[in-house]
Amino acid sequence: MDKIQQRFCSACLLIFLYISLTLSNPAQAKDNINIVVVLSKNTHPYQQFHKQLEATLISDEQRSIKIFVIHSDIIESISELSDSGINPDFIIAAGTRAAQELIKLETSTPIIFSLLPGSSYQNNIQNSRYCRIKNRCSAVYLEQPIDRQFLIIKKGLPDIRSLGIILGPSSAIMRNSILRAEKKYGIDVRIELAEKGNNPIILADSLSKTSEALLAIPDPDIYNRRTAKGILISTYKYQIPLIGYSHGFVHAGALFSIYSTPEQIASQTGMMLMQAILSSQKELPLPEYPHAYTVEINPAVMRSLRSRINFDKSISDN
Amino acid sequence: MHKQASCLYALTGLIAVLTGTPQLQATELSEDDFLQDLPVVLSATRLVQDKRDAPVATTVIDREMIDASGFTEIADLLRYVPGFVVNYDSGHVQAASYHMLNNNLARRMQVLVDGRSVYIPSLLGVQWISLGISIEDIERIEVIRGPNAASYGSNSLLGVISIITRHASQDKGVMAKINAGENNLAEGFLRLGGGSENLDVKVTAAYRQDAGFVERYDSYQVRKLNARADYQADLNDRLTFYATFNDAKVQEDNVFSRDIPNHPANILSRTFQMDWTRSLSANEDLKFQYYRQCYGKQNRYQHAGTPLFIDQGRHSERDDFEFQHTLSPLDNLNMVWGAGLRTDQVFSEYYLGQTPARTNRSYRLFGSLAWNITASTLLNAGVMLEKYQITAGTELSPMLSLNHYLTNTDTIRVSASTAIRSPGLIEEYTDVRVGGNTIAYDAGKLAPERILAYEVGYLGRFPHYRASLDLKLYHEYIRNLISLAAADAAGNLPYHFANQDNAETQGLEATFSFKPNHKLRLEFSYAHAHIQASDVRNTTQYTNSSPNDSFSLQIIQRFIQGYQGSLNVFYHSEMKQLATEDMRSANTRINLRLGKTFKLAGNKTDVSFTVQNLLNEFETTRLKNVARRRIYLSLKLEFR
Repeated sequence: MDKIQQRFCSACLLIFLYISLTLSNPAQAKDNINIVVVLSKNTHPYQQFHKQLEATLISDEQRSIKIFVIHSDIIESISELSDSGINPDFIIAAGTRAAQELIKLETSTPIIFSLLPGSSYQNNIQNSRYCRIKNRCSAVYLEQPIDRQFLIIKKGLPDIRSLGIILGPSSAIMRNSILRAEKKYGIDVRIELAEKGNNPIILADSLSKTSEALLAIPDPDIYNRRTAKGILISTYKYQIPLIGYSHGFVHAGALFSIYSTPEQIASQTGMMLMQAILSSQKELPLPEYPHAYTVEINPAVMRSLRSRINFDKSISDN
Repeated sequence: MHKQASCLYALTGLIAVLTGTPQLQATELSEDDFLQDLPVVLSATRLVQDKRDAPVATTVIDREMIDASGFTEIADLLRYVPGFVVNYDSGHVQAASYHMLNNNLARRMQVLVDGRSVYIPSLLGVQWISLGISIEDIERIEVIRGPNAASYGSNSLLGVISIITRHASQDKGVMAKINAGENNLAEGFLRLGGGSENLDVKVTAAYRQDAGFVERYDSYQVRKLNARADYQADLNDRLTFYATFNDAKVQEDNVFSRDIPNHPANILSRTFQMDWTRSLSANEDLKFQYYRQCYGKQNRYQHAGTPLFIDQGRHSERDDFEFQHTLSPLDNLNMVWGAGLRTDQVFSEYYLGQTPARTNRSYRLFGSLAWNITASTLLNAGVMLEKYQITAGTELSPMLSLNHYLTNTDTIRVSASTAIRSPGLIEEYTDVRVGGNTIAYDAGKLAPERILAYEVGYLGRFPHYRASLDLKLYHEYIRNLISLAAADAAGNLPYHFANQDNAETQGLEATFSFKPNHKLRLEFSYAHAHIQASDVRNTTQYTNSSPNDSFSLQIIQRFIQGYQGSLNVFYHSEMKQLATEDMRSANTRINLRLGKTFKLAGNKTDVSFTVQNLLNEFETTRLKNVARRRIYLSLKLEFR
């Protein structure tokens, strides 16, 4: 899908939402909707998220959307807003730190937890006291569903027959999804389960010997700044590509990465919020994986490994 | 046993604490894992060119081949490269060269260790036992079969051997290995590796002793210590430090002259290297490299039957600085350009007739590009401009090749490349006098040796069979070969170095690789060569310096429960013996290795049994290098 088409589709969606908003409450007075956006940090990715979210949440004749941004002293700042008469209708949490703070709130404001991994939401947020109330919480995850990763690998590297995957303590839960995808896409998957005491670099070395590519599944105990270099060097030693899950991995030397940018996550979060605003009960939908994603290629690695990828260059599917 | 295992576990834990080996603990995944930047690991400089795109034929000897080879000497590994000849001048002097091996120094090859030339100016060649690294340090050896001065400069006349050691991040923990076998072979290696998020460090200590050849006085002991540190200063800046120390105690003899008695000699070499790579993007790097190499040989003996003491000691120092810029200005264009400065100093009263050093400063400017003219055609072009203090004029060495991909799996290559070998200080300024008699003198300026090589190559990959075939047809013209010329046709003293020979080599080389599964691997290479040379001084110096036919075969088979076996066969037809006009007979050598890998208290352990020269086939020549069958055992433990 080229960029003009993507923009056209986005524009159509916004027009549709605009018309829906206009037609749904023709006789009502203009509503004021307060959105509080809580950023875990005030660094570039979070600022990009905030900027794109603002671009997605547009006020209209029926609704006036006001956005308040917080990135420090979260609970205190929300209290201060309430004290000054601004009660949030919705809260958007960007990142894990913001999420962990917000579940301590004593209010009943619906919260969309965004820009965080699914496991982080499922393990720490979903079952918290705050989110036990039905439809009060939802999420937009940051990681890609396993099925999508296999689909893209199969599309990009159609000749691939075997894929090595290291699973660690946080990612072991993905094993069943991976085995389902293995059957569905006909790729022979070799999984190394890292146990305590295992060195991920040695596991990568061993898998690289017997696999045609290594797929990195996010797990901080396997892939981190300390191990990324050694793992990449292992794959390079055996002349096989590593498929990453972030821009950082492509920059470092992965053949390509499949990931969603903060802007893509922000757009989806904004859409989810608009749906909630439009719903009669102001209910949040179920958590979602990212709809839009980017496949970024490292051309130098592609040339060196003589990998024939069926993408001419990096793609972005919005 | 239980107690031993407990001790090993405790040791492993201690090592992990000491070395900072990454240990697994359940850490919560967060968005930081997706959003963080990672340092550039596979930068443009580090990425090697695919064989299909290389301007000349290349061979890679990887770690698996090295482990399965059964060899304990680095030079022997080159027997897997088609067209390479490896021979021993004595137990501790190995000679290896491509196409032409006429003496023990093989001075027409460029040999690099991690990008650092290990050519020794005072020796005019490479001393394989003094590299400072051992076979255990090597990740892979890339051999460029053909001249490539445009990329590697002077001395890459016949080819380039690039030895790449293992990155420090790959060798964390402790590795200990011993080899023990017949003929007094004893080797020990100890490697410690560790580091932090941005720093990886490893240190290797090695010892080797060997009795040499049975009928020679050529045993030796070598002690090596080397260190490597990889420091990621920030996301885009990487610093790598290397240091080596090599101390060899050798026995020297002379099987041709009774005037030189059996005597001991000491060889000490040290190197330091620092590389700074700045990645401007995934496609663009700047690299600065500095290295210093010091080599000294103490070699003093009493001339037989006389009160005269002769000191053939030599010492040299080399300082080299290079800047390199690698970039891809267009999607279909990769380029590299750079400049370098080198200073060689040689001290040797015996060879140079003076105590002060002779110096040779040189400058180089180089550039090359790989341009995908169309989706199926790649043009490689390069040039090296060199200026040497001791020779007249500036030397220009261009290279051009066209690689055409017939299909996704078939490539043909046509190339023309040139290179020079600048005369060394000892060749240019030789002045040897013994007891008032002139043995060799400086007869005036020497011109560089020059090669022009044409090559037609085919590279086929057969993914269905997991096989590949690499063919090369070549024709090389070598001019101004430098060698010792005698005072007269009878070969009388005094000698002098002169550009006195030309040679033409032509032949065919083939490599077939077959890996049907992860358990079986077969590598076969064959070379046919024919040399025509002027051989002014003697009749065979260059003409017979390569066998007409040679091949190598390696079969690696992995069995169940960690057992593995490898069979290595090497053959060459008759050729000239080093240092003589004698002919070596055709020879077949077989190495057999059986090994088992298992876990001992959770740590990887390898034991192996190796037979070198299984057929006990050896030659009897005047050089007396009788290499009998040898069996050795090996034990390797890795605590990570």
